[in-house]
Amino acid sequence: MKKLLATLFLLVSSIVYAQLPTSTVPLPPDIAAIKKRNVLIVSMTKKDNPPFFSGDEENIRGLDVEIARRIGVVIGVPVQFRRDAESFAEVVEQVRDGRADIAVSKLSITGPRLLTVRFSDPYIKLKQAMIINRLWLSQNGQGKEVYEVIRTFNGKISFIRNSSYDTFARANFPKAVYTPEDSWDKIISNVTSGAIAAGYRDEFEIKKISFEFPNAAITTKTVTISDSIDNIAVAVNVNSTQLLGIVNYVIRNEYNNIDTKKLMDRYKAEKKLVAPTVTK
Amino acid sequence: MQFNLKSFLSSPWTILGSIILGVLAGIYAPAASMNFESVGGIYISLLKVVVIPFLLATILVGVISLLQKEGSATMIRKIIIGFVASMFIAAVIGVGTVALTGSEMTPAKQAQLGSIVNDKESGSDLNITLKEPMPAAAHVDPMQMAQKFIPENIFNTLAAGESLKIVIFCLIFGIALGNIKSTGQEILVDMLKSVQQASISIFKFLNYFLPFALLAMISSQVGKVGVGIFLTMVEFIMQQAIGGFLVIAVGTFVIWKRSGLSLMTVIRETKETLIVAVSSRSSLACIPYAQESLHKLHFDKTGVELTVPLSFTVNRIGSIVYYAIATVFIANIYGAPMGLTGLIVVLFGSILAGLASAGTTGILTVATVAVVCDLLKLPSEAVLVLLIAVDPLMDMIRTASHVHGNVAVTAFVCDKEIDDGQTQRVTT
Repeated sequence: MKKLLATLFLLVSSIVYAQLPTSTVPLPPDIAAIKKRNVLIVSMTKKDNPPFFSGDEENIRGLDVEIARRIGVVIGVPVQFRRDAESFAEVVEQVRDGRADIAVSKLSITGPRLLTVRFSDPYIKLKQAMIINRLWLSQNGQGKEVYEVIRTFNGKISFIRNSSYDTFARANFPKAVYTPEDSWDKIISNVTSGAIAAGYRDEFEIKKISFEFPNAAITTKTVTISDSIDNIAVAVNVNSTQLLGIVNYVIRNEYNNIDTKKLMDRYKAEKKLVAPTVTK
Repeated sequence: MQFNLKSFLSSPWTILGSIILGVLAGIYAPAASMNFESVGGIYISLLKVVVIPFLLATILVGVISLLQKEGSATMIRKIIIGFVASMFIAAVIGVGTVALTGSEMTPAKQAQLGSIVNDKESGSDLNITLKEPMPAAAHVDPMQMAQKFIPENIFNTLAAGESLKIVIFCLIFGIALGNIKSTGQEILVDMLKSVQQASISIFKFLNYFLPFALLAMISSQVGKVGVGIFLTMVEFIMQQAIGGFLVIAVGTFVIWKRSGLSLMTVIRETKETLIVAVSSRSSLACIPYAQESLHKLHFDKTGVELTVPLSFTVNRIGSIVYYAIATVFIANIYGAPMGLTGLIVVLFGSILAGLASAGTTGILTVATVAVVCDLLKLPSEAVLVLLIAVDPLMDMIRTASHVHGNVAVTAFVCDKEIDDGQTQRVTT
């Protein structure tokens, strides 16, 4: 009997031991769901945004792509990029509704977005910036300093529809006439031609104009608002607390010192590589 | 015929040859040409080194002689009429040139110009704050404008070479000196005349080196700037060249009519001044040449000695033409409609800018175009980069029309010399 009991104990314990790594430590539900699915779904806008993310499914690359892949490595699952969102707002909605696990899509932290999703620590802290038509500025300046004209901005201001700058514009320029557009390129050409007075976006995108639209320099002026903030972070679902911890871990450990200059260097390097395809 | 080095060096053909050689060297060997930049710099410095004592002496002598002569009031009146009329004519020429030669700004041209202005390496054009206080802007006091004309310490002014203040000082001091009845005054006038003559002989000596200096200056300038930007800005350059040509043509006509000599004589006597103007791009350096050519054309010595330095420093003919053309060019870039009212604003605005630019040189002169642009509510900031880039060439045209225009003003103001003995002395 004693011998039988010992054998039984050995048998049971060996079975238990064999099961230990997978079933005895229960995973938090958000991670468990990803593990079960064995893929991390990352939402990004449909439109490319180098050096954050660009290229088709096989060749997708950029800073946001790298961050997403690092998160995938920590969790131990492959990453799948979901690129069907038409706007930044839609990216946020996909995370909110659980259609994507995270959104790494050069997303700005804004008040309205914080009501529905959680944001990680920012991995880039940008400033807000503007591109202004010079002729408009001269004709509406009334001898005032440029900063005074901008503080009391009363012309047509354009920004990408359903983007964070929609929110920022309404908060910072209450007297302006808001003209949302779907395409940033359209906004630039409108400001260059004088159809609208100003375009509103982050300093990095404003700086990029000088590379993509060299003719804009003569008719437009670029202005950085140095006491403004545009924090770029990863969005996760409200219930994904464990996932948020992992995202923050990746950002704090590996992406904690990215600035506008490094971003610009990345952009220039990418530009050189894909030069023939980006001709506009 | 024996080869004469002196006449070879001062021959206009030699000078023309060195200009052409300079341009070619600048285009085909820009790196080597740039090494010679300092040679041209040394020449300009040598030219300028005696300009200040010369300016001082010549205006003082001019004022004193004028006071001792009959009809000084008539002359002062004529100087004022001459200045006002010439500024107005200059503005009309400028506006007329662009009104007749202006063309449409296409997006392609705009892109070309934009890529020159575009500075990819720097940050945004301006940093501002929305809520945090901004540093207070430098407040421009209109009274401070007057400071530009008023010398505080004549020795500082001389040391800094602020020609406009020197002229003001000389006028005040000359009038005071002219009213002193003493032997001291005569001694001083004699001394100043010696300074004047010594300066002129230095200028004449330097003139022999002009072909070499020209070669060095032009080749290094062309080498440095390159020809690309000039091709992009060709329209503006052509307009400026036409404007400059018209000023010189009108000026030559006035000198011809006033001198009563043949047109060929007028051209022969004034061409050297023009060559120095184009090569040195310094109107001050042209003063002795202008005076000598006017002497040779038998204009009254006293009048010439006073009017030339006065008009060269105060009456900014070249700049007025430049501003008128540049403003319409800027309006064209921004597609701002000008209309008749706009052109009238340009006309008077460029005269105003010309007055405001008194005492400025180089980039500061170019930047004064903002005076006219502000009147028309046009942005000038971005285009300024373009204007500065082509300014080495523009400065040549500006100086040439400025110098020749004011030689014409002097010819208008001054009577013909009666004393034949004196005119013979200056004829070489």
